[in-house]
Amino acid sequence: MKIAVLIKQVPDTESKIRVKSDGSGIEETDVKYIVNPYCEYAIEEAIRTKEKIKAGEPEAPVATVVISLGPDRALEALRTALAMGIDKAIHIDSEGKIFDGFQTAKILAGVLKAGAFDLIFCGKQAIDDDNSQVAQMTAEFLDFPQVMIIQKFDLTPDSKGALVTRQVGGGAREIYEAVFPLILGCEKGLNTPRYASLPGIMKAKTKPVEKLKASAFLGDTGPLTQFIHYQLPPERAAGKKLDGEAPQQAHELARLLREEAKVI
Amino acid sequence: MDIQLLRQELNKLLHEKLEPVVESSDLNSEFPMEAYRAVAQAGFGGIFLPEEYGGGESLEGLMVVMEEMSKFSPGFALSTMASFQLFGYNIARLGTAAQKEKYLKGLTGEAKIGCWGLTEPDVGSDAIHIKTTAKKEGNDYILNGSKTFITNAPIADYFIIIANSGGSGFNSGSARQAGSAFVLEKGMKGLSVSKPFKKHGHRCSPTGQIFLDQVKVTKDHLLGSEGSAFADMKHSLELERFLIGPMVAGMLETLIEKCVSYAYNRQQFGQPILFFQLIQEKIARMRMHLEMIRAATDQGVALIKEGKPATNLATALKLYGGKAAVEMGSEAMQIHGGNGYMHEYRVEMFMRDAKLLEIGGGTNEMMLQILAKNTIKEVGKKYGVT
Repeated sequence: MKIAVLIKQVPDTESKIRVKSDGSGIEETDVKYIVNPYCEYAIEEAIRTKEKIKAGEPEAPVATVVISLGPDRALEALRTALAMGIDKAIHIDSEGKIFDGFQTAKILAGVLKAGAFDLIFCGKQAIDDDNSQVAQMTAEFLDFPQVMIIQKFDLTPDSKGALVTRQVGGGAREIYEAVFPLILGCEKGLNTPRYASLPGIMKAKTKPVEKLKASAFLGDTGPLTQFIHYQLPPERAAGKKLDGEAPQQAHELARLLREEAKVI
Repeated sequence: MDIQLLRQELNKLLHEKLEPVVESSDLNSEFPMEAYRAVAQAGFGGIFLPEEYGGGESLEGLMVVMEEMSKFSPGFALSTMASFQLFGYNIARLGTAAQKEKYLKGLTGEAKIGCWGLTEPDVGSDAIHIKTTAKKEGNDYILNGSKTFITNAPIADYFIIIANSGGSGFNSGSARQAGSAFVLEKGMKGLSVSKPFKKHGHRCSPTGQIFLDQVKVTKDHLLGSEGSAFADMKHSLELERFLIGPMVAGMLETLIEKCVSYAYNRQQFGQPILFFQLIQEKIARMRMHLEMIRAATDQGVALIKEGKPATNLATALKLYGGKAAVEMGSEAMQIHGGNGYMHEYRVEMFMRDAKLLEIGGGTNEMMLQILAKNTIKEVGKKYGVT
């Protein structure tokens, strides 16, 4: 079985985001990057699936490959996945370009097609642009079935498909059975991602990292959407302190709520 | 070893497991066992142990692990290093195959805690005059005595005890050849420990006494050869001195971050106090010390790897690092003003933790004495100094 994991490197949630002065993007200097948290669930599930198969059938051929499209720094995220236990990494160099979700899906689909994968895990969304589109569009390009926001995963008894559970409105759950090749988007609660261990970090160095170029898979596919401008939310205005005795304060507060806030 | 990946992954683990308990473990003088277990079992503690026992055999890695832990909690770094360096590394380089198999795997796999006992109530810097004895009886040794100021003693599973084993030097002039090291385990008859001492700093790292009352052990518990403990110790203590480098570097990095961010947000006279030159001078000096300490640490790593003498550098770094930590800890509190005096800003913790570095692992005075002795010996030769 060949299992792929699609991951994205995103700014750490604790990083302070600054927009470039011309609004064309965010300032990357001093931003700390991490593996997108939802992608960590995907990495963990791929490793667990391999471990589970190997526990029953030690000789079964199972390969796990982590794939990321991005600049050179994306290698850091790939190395983390290798240190956690993934066997091989593919870095698709974005060659200094920014792609929209459609183009990203096109590139990933090309790489996945060449790799002939059975099972593809990815995060349900990236926490930087929150687009939640790439996995679905990639499935469409490949004509694979996809189930997103999964919280439970099991192989079918014949290992030719999977049983997955996703939560829907009102706490109800949908249970899907789907056949390989299959793309799954992972949600929090699916598992608890492991920490990379020292032996894992040491092994990561000897694992293969394949380098590909995005342009080779993109062809002449143009973007369907375009970022026009980035801007931060406006800073919150300072609060207002009311003076005087309690009755005056109450009077003033009622006036402000009616005339300024317009809520009563 | 991919040092960058090591730093990144360890930092992530410490951020999630250690950071949330730093304040409570310091306030309540509690060892953060869960965080320790995570660090030990992920293998990071054993960074300098042999690979066959799950270690990383990396000296650069050891420095990084020490630095990262110290960024969060110097006390946690101290306890982890007492376990894996003072205990573990000595087992790794002096132990028999059976000792290594048992104790090194225990440290990583089971997150067992080790300690190393030399200091006694009446014997500190003057180590060769220890009073703990190990008398040979047939194939066994009987240990008697007590140890104090031992990091991890109150919570330790494994102990290395340095004792006077007699022989040619027992109670005679050649005490230097009378030291032997023994590996003991929690639960042995006659071995007991005190409660943790109440301390000025490093409060999450339990320090205490070890009591040995007729502790009988077989020859298998001898570590290294009989009478070699003091000679064996030299190398390990030199490495321990170098570890002050990354510890202080980690502390300074945290203090610099805290100071810059605090001073930028703290407004006085209509502007951030960061813009006042008297504040900037303190930050500049923190950076100066950080750069010097990093450079000296790197140089120490290079010397050790090349097998070149490093005693003077190790001694100088120990002295310099301890002083820098104490001075800069104080300056960091000064920048934080009244808030710095409060526990919650976690600046005064570093200040309290810093003071130990001028005392533990050899006092400033001993470091000065060693440097003076070596320098006068080296340079004085030309001038007939005897």
